Amino acid sequence: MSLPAHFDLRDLIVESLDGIGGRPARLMLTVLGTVVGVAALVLTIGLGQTAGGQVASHFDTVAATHLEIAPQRSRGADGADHPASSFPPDAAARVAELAGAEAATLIGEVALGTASITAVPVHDPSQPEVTSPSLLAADGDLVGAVGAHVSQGRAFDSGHEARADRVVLLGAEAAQRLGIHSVTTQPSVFIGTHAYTVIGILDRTATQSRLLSAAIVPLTTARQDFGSVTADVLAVRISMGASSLVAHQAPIALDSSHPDTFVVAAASAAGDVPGEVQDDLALVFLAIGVITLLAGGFGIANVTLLSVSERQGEIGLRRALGATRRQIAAQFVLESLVVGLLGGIIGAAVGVFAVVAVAASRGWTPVLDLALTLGSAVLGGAIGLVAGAYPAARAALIEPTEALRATPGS
Amino acid sequence: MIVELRQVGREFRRGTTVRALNEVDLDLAAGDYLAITGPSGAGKSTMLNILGLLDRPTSGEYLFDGVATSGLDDRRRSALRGASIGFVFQSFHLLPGRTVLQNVMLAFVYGRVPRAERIDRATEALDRVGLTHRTDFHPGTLSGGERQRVAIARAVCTGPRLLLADEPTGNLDQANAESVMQLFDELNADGLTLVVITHDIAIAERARRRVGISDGRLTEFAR
Repeated sequence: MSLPAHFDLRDLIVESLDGIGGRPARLMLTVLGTVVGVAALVLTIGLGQTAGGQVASHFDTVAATHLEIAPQRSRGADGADHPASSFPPDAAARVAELAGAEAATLIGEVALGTASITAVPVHDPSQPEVTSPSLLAADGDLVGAVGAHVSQGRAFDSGHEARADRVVLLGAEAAQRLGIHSVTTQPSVFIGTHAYTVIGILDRTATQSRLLSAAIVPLTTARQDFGSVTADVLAVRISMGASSLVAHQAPIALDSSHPDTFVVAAASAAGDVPGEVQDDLALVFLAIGVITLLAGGFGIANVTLLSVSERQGEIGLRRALGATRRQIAAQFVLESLVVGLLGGIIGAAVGVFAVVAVAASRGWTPVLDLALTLGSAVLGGAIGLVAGAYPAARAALIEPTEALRATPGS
Repeated sequence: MIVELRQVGREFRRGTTVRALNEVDLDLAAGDYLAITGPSGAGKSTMLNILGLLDRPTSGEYLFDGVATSGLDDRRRSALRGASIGFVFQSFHLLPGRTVLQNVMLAFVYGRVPRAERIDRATEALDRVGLTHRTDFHPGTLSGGERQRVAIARAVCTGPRLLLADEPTGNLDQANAESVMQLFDELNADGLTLVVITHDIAIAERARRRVGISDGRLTEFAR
């Protein structure tokens, strides 16, 4: 008498899949919302991770190929920090000769005092006061050592240095502030009372970002025009893997009797990652993904509801054949679960392809968390499960007698 | 007794209370062949739903095969229905996307039939209704008479104790109706208890017992 219905999981799956497969065109439309939603999610997360990986590898590369050597600082009698040593005049040449070192430059700040850097020789009171760029002095291979890029003109060379020529290299920001956009006409800037010829503009550097907002002159010229200039850092570019070797040898090369008076550090990359902008964009994509996914869920719920009302006759028949209300509900829940899962899997695949395509077009390495991707596919299934709950409850409550009469069968 | 109805009543509340069945008593022994006739809205379908455990009486008791059904929950009623009661409807209710064989086998999904036996038993049932040559056809390609015979095969393949037919010839022409009724006669001759609901007197005449239903009350006609 209390015979349990012999309706196992396999029967349930077979009956549900048959219900889904019956209308392939409708199935395609139903999964579309979930596909787009999950794809948008995977794309957002994937691009975020890929870009993050890209930024990290950029920082790693800069840190692995650039060193900065500075004099040890110690507290003097006056309570302030003073450098404990100073660079020898040929510091850049000494370090550049080390095995593993590719380029080196000494950089020092030049105190301008009351003097300023201007593009016009006379002070015009009607012109608005412009903050003067800072003045830096450098020697050796500046461009090579800091990984700079000269967008216009050229950098100064050993010839300029040897002759102490009045030439100046402008950081892009400084050039803009001075109103200099081109070097083809050999414009001049006045540093204090001296006219300097602008020979080039730097638009980016891998390290030493202060160069972009400064005017840079050869160290010899700076010493000739402005007196003593103390170099505060020796920037070195090294070949990959030579970091520890150069870090060990450079202080010895600088001062063999007191190598410990120099501090060697890995350079930090110049420039900030536009993290906030990226985060905002990711948030928009994430919102699109979530909204589309919700819409997809409503789509599944709607179509399942439609399917329930269309299949009243079938539901009535199944009840007559011995199906319990719970079995009817289970069939419809499983149907929408499978639809959701299908959308999730297709969407995740589309998302992965999109991430790979975008990464390939930018020459990036695609980075994608496998668990997150699989999770997105499962999320589609979960959406289907939730979306199917209400239609399934409706199906279970259908009175078989009315259902059998209402719908003409075939 | 297969069916014992004891003072069974069924009320519907739709604004006003409608008594679709009123203190109905009915006994059906194994092998009985009963026709229920009556005008539309007299309570024929309600009667069939109560007998088929698709609906519950609001008063009285229904004993099926000696078991009081009023205390059974949906799961037990469904199990009993799947194992012991077969249905044949006016509109055949075959699933259009499935073959004849698959339509018959649907009855086993909710019954207690092991998967290994399903094809053999469905084929056997189709043999009984004379449709073994149609097993792989889809319902849409069959005539009305053939479709109803598939539905009958589906109803009897689980070996029910009671077969309920609701206007089984309502959608059929004379010849097909005759062949379906012939099939019912044979099934009954093999011992199957049969209840046919019809408004067609000629169909009702073939049954051994006839009851009329009017305003929810049952009257048995002497033969």
